[in-house]
Amino acid sequence: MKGTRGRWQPLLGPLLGWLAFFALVSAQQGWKAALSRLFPQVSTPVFERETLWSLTWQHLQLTGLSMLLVLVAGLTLGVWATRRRGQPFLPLVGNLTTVGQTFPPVAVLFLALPILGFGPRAAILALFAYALLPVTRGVMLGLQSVPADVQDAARGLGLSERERLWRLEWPAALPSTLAGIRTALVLTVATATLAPLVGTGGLGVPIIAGLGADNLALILQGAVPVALLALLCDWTLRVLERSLTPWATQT
Amino acid sequence: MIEFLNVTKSFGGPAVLHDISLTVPRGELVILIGPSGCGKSTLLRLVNRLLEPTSGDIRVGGVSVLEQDPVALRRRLGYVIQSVGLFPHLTVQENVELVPSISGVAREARAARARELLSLMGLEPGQYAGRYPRQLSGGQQQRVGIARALAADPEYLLMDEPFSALDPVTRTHLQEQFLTLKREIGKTILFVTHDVDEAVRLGDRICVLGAGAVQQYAPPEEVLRRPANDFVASFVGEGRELRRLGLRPVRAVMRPGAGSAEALGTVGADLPADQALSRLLGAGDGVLNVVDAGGAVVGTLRLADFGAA
Repeated sequence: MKGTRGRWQPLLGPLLGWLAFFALVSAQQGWKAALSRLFPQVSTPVFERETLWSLTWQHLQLTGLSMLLVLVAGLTLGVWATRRRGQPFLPLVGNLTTVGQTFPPVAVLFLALPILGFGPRAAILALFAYALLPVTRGVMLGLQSVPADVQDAARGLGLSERERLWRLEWPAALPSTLAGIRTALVLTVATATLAPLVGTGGLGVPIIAGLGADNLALILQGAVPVALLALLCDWTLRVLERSLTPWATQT
Repeated sequence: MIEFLNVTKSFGGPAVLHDISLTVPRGELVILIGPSGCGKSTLLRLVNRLLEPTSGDIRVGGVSVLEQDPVALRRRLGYVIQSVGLFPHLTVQENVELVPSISGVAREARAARARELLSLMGLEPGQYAGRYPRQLSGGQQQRVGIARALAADPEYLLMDEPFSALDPVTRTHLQEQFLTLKREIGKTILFVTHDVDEAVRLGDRICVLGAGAVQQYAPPEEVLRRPANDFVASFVGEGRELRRLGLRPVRAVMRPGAGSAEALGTVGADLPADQALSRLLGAGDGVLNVVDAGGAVVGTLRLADFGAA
């Protein structure tokens, strides 16, 4: 068996990736120099009202908060819908989460405006609705993926319903759950760029300002960090999946 | 001791099991056998309450299972199934330790027990303990399955076609290993199979089920020699005399005395007689000298000797 050290060592790569990313977004002067050289004719090559660092920080907060809500709701819904009491609601939960994802996030943003008003709450609601599906579906598929014979053996060996959930179904659901979380996270990171439409910050701010002013430099200043952030999230979670579920990947 | 008392089971339609009464004596291995759909697995699953009888009672150690908490009951009854059902996310060792770890057995004690059982099942712990189930062959998985069932040292073992999914060579090997194990552990075992050879080989008694009822309940030798009715006779098949030979050593068939000078070869006195017959058939009309474990000739064997057997 691999030791604990060996198990977590693969996470070193993503960790360095994150450090590099933070270094990159805090280099305000570097961005200014690079973008001025690329776009010499543009008068404001970088967003001036806020630093890239604080925009990134807002983006992370927005993403983190909505992901937190998605995790709580998605895990609860997924577990509940696969329990005996929740079984009748399984199709309903499936349909609701699908509907949540079919709505374009922009539509959810504007629908939420009259209820929640201008500000981060509308953005978080839209992101929440959009990301709930992959997480919930990942949990449900995972919990249902336990083969019937393994369930039979677990029952026959004298595991109670609760023990089967914690010792069998939940660990067996982990790969699928983590994959769902990864999809949701990448979606959220990308979709959060729409938040400025309802008056919230984040890396979408320079993108939308740039679109309005026909300023490619501003668009790039927002889009490049968002793309890097999404890739970084994907990579980190992939590595985490392999570390947490060695049994699913090792041959 | 496991007792079935007038057990009837139906799944809504006609009864699958009809008024079954049967006693599995303490320390014996009883085979439940019959064609598919005869209710043999259903009967087994009534014992650990994976199913409930429609009427009648099942007693384990003199106490009705219906009065016992299913979870507590199942911990006392080891359970082995055809598809094994190892937990895919646990290593071999963790799988074997499953029930003891839930029951709160100390880590060192259950680890030692798991390693002992793996060795007993012919899996070198140093090599296999840390592997995951999908890294094992079917035969290895079932060895782990049996070790898992024995980990909490249950008094009883319920086995539902444990060797049926294995290839013939692995199956025979596991059967032999299991026979040795059975003598060592001395548990009361209820064993479901559809394979007559397996039943004859492993069982202390065989219960032939057909049409939801017990057709015959007797030791293997008797089921083969005196099938209780046409159903049993056709189920054990025309090959039953050959199978019966398989239960007896050459020693019991041979003509004792000095060896023959014309002998085509030698055959061990403790070899199953059906294998010696096969060799004689291959050699034409000849004679074999029978030798004991020390190599001394103890008798001769001709085709004609089988007529008297």
